[in-house]
Amino acid sequence: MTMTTFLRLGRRLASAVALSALSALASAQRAPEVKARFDPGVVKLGSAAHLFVEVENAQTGDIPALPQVAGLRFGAIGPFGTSSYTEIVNGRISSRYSITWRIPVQPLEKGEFAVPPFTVRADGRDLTTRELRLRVVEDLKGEELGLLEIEAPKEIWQGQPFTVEIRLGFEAGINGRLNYYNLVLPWLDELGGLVELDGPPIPTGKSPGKIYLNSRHELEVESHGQRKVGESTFLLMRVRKRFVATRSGALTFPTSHFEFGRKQDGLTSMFNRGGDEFVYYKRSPPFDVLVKPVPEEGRPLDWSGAVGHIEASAIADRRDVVAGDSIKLTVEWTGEANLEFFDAPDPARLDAFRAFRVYGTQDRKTWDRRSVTYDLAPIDPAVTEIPGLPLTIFDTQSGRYDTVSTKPIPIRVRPLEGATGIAAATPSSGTTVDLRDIQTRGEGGGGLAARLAPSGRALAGLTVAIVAGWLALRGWVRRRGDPDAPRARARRRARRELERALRAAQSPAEQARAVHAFLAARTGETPEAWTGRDPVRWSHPHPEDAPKLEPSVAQALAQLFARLDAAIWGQGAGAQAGKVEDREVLALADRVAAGGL
Amino acid sequence: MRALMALAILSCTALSAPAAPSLQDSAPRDAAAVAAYRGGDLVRARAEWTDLLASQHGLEGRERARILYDLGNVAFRQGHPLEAVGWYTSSLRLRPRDADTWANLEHARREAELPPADRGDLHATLYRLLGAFTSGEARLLALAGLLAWATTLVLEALRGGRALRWMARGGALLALLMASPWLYGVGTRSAHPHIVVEEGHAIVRSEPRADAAVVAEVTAGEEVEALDTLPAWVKVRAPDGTEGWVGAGSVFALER
Repeated sequence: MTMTTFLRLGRRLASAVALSALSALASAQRAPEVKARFDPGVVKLGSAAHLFVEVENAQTGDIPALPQVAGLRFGAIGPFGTSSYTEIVNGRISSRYSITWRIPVQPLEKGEFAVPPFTVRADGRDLTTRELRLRVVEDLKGEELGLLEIEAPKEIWQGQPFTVEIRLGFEAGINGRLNYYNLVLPWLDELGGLVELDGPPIPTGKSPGKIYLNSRHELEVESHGQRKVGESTFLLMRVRKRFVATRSGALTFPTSHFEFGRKQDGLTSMFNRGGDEFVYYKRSPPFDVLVKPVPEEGRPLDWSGAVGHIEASAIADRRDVVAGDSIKLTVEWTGEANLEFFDAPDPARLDAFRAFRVYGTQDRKTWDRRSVTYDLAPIDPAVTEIPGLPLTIFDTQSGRYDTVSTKPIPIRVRPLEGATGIAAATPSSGTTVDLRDIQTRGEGGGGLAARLAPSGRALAGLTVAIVAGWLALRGWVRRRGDPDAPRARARRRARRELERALRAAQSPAEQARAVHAFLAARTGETPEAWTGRDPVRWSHPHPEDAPKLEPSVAQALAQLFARLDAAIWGQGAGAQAGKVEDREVLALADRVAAGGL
Repeated sequence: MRALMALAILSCTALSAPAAPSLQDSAPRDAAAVAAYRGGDLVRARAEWTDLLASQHGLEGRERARILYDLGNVAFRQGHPLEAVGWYTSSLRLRPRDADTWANLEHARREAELPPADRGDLHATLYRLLGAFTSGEARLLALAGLLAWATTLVLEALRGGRALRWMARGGALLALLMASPWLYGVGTRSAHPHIVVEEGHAIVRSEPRADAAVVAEVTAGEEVEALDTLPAWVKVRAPDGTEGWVGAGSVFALER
């Protein structure tokens, strides 16, 4: 594995991790992240440079101390500047803050200086920068011998991938004397809101070799022919890098340099020649890329987060299946867009795919295409096509939200033989769903309900009658007293209580008490009122009044009292002998109650 | 009291007892229609059953429902699924729990590219439950509920007390519950219901003329109420309340 391949894989992994993290945590508070860079990365002795330290996702911070580097003098750290921005990842939008220090740096001598990692404290966390390098040279000579052009779009949309093309070269006349090439891009990996993506590979046979990148890594370049400028001819190389801006606002790319010359430790894969050491410098001025926010107006709820210009196509591996069989539907989205980062549509959530089951998906991402294979199974033999799969995007060409859809794919779904579980309406193989047969006489039957049922008017009348009857009955009953009053309840309970008391009575005296309690409950008096009372006289105290009890009942009651008294006083209280039969007493009680007492 | 209640029930049922159906008279014609259907003579089968319906006004409800169902099959076999939907819907009004009719109705609706009559969701299930009784059954059920309520009211009137008062309230609730199919029928069944059987939609015009202004459109499968009829025209009230005239062939009377 070459260094370049390793670096590319590492970057891809880092991008994926970074964007996955952005995606997963877009709505939550993300951890602060520090980035630092020199601007410019190559400085002439006597000129000043600046150290930029930026912490994303933080609102406060400080730099306790800067490392001591012999040959460099750092200025005062000073207060940080704050900026806020919106960030968009996979269609999720969140507000972010970042803080930035701009620290002046004065080189004291020439040489290549390595600034070791130092600590930055942000929102209570300690963060560490990467090692930084600053090259200080005696003279930035050789401007006329070199060429460095960096081409990038002036405006892009937030989330829209874009390509930065870097053309670098040197005068053809000095070609034979060079063995050292270094492209100094201080903004690479150190610019907040900018994430590098995989770019197009260099065509086979088009690369003359590798050069240094930021004095640290190797970078494969692509031959780009020659260019005549005035009297000079320049040999050109090209590097193309893809990025995506995750936040809106201006992205400022600081000064870049192309160093070329001859060194003892120069890269010799391109040219290998001996001689004195020298280095020339070609400078590219800083430039801005304006990142426009994706508009909120008209944003569909189902926006996938796709930004760019996208075309969709779909193919199915099978088009003649049995219901329930799997069809692999491969959908490809191509175009200049953030193909790696949008949420692929889920057919299981689309009405058009209701007659399908979705068993799974396989997602493949490359820089120029997004390919998702859906494992679908039609469950209804009535299905005649795989519907188009829509994807809602923000089209950077029109500047509006749009939907790109695949074309429907006609399919044939045969009924599943002997199946009942997948779809209720799925008939057996070779059969079809048809009408149920006509019904002939005798299958109907019934009709009793229609004959017995009252009419609607009768029901309405009955309802009124029930309510009226209830009110009347209630009023009539209440006129005779509240049926729920304690006395009325005791009166109703009296017979039951008598029976219970007689069953428990052990002597004539207890029987007498039970009878007195019964009569008291029926008359609303206390049981003591009946002790020694003559029922005949009580029932009919005045000859001119109607008796309270029938004379025969009153007489029987008097006889019962007499028998009980005789039993009590004649043989002693508590004795079992002399008790009156329970049923005899109860029969008399019933006569008393029936007599109106 | 019991005697009074028995009298009330008897009087209710006696008030509404319909005349006995004359099934014997319709038997030969029905047999002829069945034979014609079996023999593939759908035109004759349709004519026999239609005449039978028209001539036998006293035909018992279930028997009418069966003939309506059979006519639905005839219409479907003749390639008129929308008309079949009308016949089956009409049949279900008399025999709402018949599984064959429901199956054929849903099949005909599918063929006519209409949404299912029973979508299967909670709302549809509730309304299907309320509509699962014939008019007579719903009234009998309501009667039973009323009698149960009356019993609790009598007990409450005679005895009083908190428990019996609660029982009377429970009885009222039970009566309401048992009367709900009847009340639902009273509340939802229009006097002269029709169903739209024009493919796609039927044009509702302000007057019964072909050049009259279009005031609304009613979609196939929608139920409308007929307000008036003229030769070739029916005045309808659309579900949104709009009234106007549609071609007589565009709607199908559900009361048959």
